[in-house]
Amino acid sequence: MSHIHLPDGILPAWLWLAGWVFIVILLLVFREYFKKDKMSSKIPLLGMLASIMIISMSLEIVPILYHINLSIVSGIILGPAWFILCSFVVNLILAFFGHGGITVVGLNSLIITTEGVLGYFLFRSLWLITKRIFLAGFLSAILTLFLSTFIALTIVALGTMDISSAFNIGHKEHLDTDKGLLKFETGESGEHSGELSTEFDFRKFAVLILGFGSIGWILEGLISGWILSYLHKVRPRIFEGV
Amino acid sequence: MDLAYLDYLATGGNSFFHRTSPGLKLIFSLLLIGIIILVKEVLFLVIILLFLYLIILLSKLPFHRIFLLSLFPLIFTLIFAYASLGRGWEWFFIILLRVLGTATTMIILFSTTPFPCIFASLGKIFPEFIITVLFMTYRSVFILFSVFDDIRSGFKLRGGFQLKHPKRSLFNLARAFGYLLLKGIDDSQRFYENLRIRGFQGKIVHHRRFCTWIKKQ
Repeated sequence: MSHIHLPDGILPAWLWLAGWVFIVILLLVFREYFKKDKMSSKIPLLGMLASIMIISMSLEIVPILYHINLSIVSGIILGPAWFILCSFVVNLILAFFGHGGITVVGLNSLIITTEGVLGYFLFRSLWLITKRIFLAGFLSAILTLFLSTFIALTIVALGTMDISSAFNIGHKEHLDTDKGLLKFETGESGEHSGELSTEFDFRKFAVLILGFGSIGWILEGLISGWILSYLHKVRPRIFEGV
Repeated sequence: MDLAYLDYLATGGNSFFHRTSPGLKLIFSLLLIGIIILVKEVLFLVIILLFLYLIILLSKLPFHRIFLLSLFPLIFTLIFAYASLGRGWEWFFIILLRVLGTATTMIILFSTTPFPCIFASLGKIFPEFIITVLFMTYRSVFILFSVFDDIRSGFKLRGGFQLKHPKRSLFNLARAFGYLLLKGIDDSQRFYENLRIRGFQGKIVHHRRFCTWIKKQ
């Protein structure tokens, strides 16, 4: 639930374009790092973990409108840098099936990346402090999902704001005084240019997301904790780099 | 998860839409999504949806299955659509129709075009390392999906998900995913070793000739 299950055409263009720009910048920053390691076994591992995430995200728990992400577990196994690429690929493939729109791939990738990266560092710190792998996995998953849900809500809240009105672009009072040869008018002068408007009940949306989400965080936290302790029992080598 | 089923439809079909070049279909789909994004009329969205359903029928794709697949994203959009009710029922239906429209467009694209051909076309836009990862992920889904089927059977044999015993059920589910992860990690290593033996140089070369539909003699 932490990423945005919004279709295309709901969020204003400046917002989803910003998402794409941010994820492209992130991928470009780490491009050389990926290229340097392109011959390593990281790429097949990334493919496998991305496919596990796709499988888990395709299994919805209908009563609470939630699906398990496994983003924290994958982030811990892959490491923060490779997880950026993993989250982008997962969101791109999911968008191919309408699970989140194509335009929101950038924003969704940023949210899932936050989960994986933050989950990795939180787990590392909590494991050092508590020395208990289940507890570290459980707490890092819950805290990370809590934060990423708030990031998702912030994005939707930003979508309800009209950036053009915030900067007084294309508004009637300016156009009236404009006596030049060229006059710029928006198709919907006076209306919001973004799709989301004040009629969108953000409070209701946030209550529902946080209500269903909180059940989901606990489920994901428990599952992540058990998965990590299971993996640690049978294959402790996976955690050598953590 | 119907990735395998869509791939089967894409490789097995021979309709006009199957034969059209993957690049063209990709551009057509993106344009259609662009229109769906911009349209704010329920009637126009319904017409687009009917047009998409016509393509499904003309492409000889199983309508019922494709329709059910396109409903999946609606589950998650309901919260958003419900919160938007203040803007009226028309907007509620616009949201739902947009989801149905974009999902149906993408499902048609993937059920008439094999995935590797789409990835090869995307190679003109995305850098090489992303395309390599897309290929790897695509292949991995098929490898893991058969494993996942066995795990699911095992999970059901252990009682499946029982509301009476939520802790035990969740624990079994975690074990199932844990095993899937372990299997994935092991298979990725084997996969890597096989790739290296075959001369893997960090990229997967895809020949476009495999994407050209060859008329059966």
